[in-house]
Amino acid sequence: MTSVTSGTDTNGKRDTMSGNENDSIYRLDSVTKVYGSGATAVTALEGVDLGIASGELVAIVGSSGSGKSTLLQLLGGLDRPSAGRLALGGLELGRAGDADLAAIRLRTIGFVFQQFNLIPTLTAGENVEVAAAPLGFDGATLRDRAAAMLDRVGLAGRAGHLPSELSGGEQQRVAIARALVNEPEVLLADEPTGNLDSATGEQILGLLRELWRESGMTIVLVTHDPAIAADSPRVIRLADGRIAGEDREPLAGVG
Amino acid sequence: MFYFRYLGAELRRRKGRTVLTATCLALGVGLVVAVTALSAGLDEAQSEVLEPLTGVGTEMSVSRPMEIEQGGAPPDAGGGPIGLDDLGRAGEKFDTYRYVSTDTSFPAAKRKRVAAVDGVDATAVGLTLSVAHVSGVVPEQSASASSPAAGAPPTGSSASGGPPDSINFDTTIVSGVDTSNPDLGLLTASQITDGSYIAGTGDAVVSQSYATQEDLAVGDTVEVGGKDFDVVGISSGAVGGQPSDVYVELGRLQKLADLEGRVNSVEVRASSAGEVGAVSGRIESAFPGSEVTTSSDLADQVSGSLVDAKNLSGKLGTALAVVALIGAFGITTLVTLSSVAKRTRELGTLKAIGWRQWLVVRQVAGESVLQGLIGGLLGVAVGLAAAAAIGAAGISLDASLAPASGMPSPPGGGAPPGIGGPPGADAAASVASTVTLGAPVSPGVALTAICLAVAGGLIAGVFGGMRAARLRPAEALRSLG
Ligand SMILES: Nc1ncnc2c1ncn2[C@@H]1O[C@H](COP(=O)(O)OP(=O)(O)O)[C@@H](O)[C@H]1O
Ligand SMILES: [Mg+2]
Repeated sequence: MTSVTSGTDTNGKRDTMSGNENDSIYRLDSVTKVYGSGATAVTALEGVDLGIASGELVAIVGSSGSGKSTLLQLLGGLDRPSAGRLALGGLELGRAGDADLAAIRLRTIGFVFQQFNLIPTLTAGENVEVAAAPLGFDGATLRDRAAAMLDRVGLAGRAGHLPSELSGGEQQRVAIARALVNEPEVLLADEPTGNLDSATGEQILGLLRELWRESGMTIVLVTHDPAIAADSPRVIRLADGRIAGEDREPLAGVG
Repeated sequence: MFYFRYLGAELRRRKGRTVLTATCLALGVGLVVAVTALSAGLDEAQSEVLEPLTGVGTEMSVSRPMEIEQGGAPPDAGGGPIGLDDLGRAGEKFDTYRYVSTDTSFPAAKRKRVAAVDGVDATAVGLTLSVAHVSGVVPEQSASASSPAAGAPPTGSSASGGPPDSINFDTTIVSGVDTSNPDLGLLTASQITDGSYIAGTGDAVVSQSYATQEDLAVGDTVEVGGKDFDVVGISSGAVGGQPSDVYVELGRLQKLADLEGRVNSVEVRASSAGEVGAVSGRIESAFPGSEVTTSSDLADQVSGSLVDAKNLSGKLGTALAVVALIGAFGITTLVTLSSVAKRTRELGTLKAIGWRQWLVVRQVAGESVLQGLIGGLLGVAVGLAAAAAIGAAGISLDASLAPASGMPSPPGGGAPPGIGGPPGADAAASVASTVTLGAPVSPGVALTAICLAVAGGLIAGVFGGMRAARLRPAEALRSLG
């Protein structure tokens, strides 16, 4: 599996009018997610209709418990909707098997987590290699790719450091390098600045925007920080598992 | 290879877990190695005890135990009951020798039948007799009261009474040795600890215990059946575990006992130790009425602290090793499961970034197997150290070999009435020896120990991997997020 999308402009210059139906990478139709069953069932998402165009930068905002993480996990193929349809490219994620979802997560999607989620026993370089290793590269290629990716996130020369020897911002940069090492079409970030002070958070967001502009990938960013949301070209507001509103700022992000 | 680097990093950077599991497995398999080494050492000690008695495990002894027929004692049972009447009139002096055997004698030519059996390498005949020397004065007694029933208590208040003071009775167990083959037979050249093997008809070899008892040394003379023999050598144990007091040339004993051309045992050497069982069976069917004693029969008769140690290591040692191994496997599994639980986020992250189920399971199981390997290597070291300590301790064990059947006390009323049984016969017929305990570790045992530890790691890895496999990536991220 190389690509599940079509018509993605992967080399550079961004079309500010992206987001039209034909170019959509995600297509959600009345997506509902219910956790548990019976009396203890929790409806985390209810009837979500959403299209995300290839190359978009989307911020998802909402109060805690509104379903942001749930939505991101569905987009990332970590979980399946309870009802409704969720397509990535042409593929219905709700009906994909575990192995197919793993393959999509490996090649098509990159994840960035609030807690960084680096492997504590691996160095920064190895933490990047860990994402590319299943693709079967030989050792040298793997190392080169990881080094190039670390270079790109501004961590050249830190490949040999363990996560515990890096600051929070540096750890998140390693995590971003890991998310991007397989050149995914989609980057999903769940509160990537949530564990960082505001200055460092700004730097990380700046890095993500820069990478977005350079690569043409789709980024979906979950945040509850209104300032971050204000800077995003498209903001989706969630409340109680439903889409409560949406803002588009056509010029934002063009720089 | 990235995955190996990851395995190595996990083991190196989670030292506590690696040390804990490897130590548990090391102690578990170390104990297995030590117990196995100990039992190998005890086996060696046992064969060391049996070695002088059994050659190198290929030897066996064929005899023909007496069958008590209804028609009375067989003709060669030693001349039947000794009645006081036979000795002469009351008050008369007497001095007589009786030759008694528990085993039926048979023509020496029967050896050919045994020799013809498949798997028999060599044979040697022998004749072992209990020589009773009775002397004294015939006591006053009515002739009709003589010969009480066989099996009457040797001492009692009956008219026949206890042994009269006027009668001397002593018994010597004498073997006639086929000297044509000094490597096989009732007495072999290798059993001579002092002096030399029997060279002529006037030579005798005495056993160590008899020499001590009778204060004999090489160069002295010993009397058998009223004839003097030159003591030319002293011997250690004897084949078959029934050492005689005195060994003389076969023909000479046959003549003294009036059993010319007859023998009562055939010593056999099988062509291979592995065949002993089969050969012994074939001999018994080729030679009706015969009974074959092999070294494994003898092993059952060993007693003493060696046997206690063997029983202890066999039962307690094995139980201990099994318990330790199960404990080590259990702890390893628990540690692995708890590690998987602690690494929920890490393993969930691996799944989230696209690691297939199998890769995650392999990683978890691989770590355990590697820990097992380390534990196994450590365990072999622990076991070797324990074995070395056992060897260095120089523990000595004693063992004694009781005879399979009482050599003296011929059945069927052979014992002289009114005269006590031959004294000290049972003590003379056993062999005691002391051996120093070692604990050899064979490469096979070491390899098995490593495999056991790796298996322990694998078991833990399977459980850990199963738990890791069940982990849903979304849950994994949320649980700590
Ligand atoms: N695994 C789960 N089991 C049960 N309830 C869950 C689970 N995950 C999330 N929820 C519930 O679903 C709702 C949405 O959660 P979440 O998507 O994490 O919200 P957000 O990320 O916006 O804070 C919350 O009420 C939460 O308690
Ligand atoms: Mg959340």
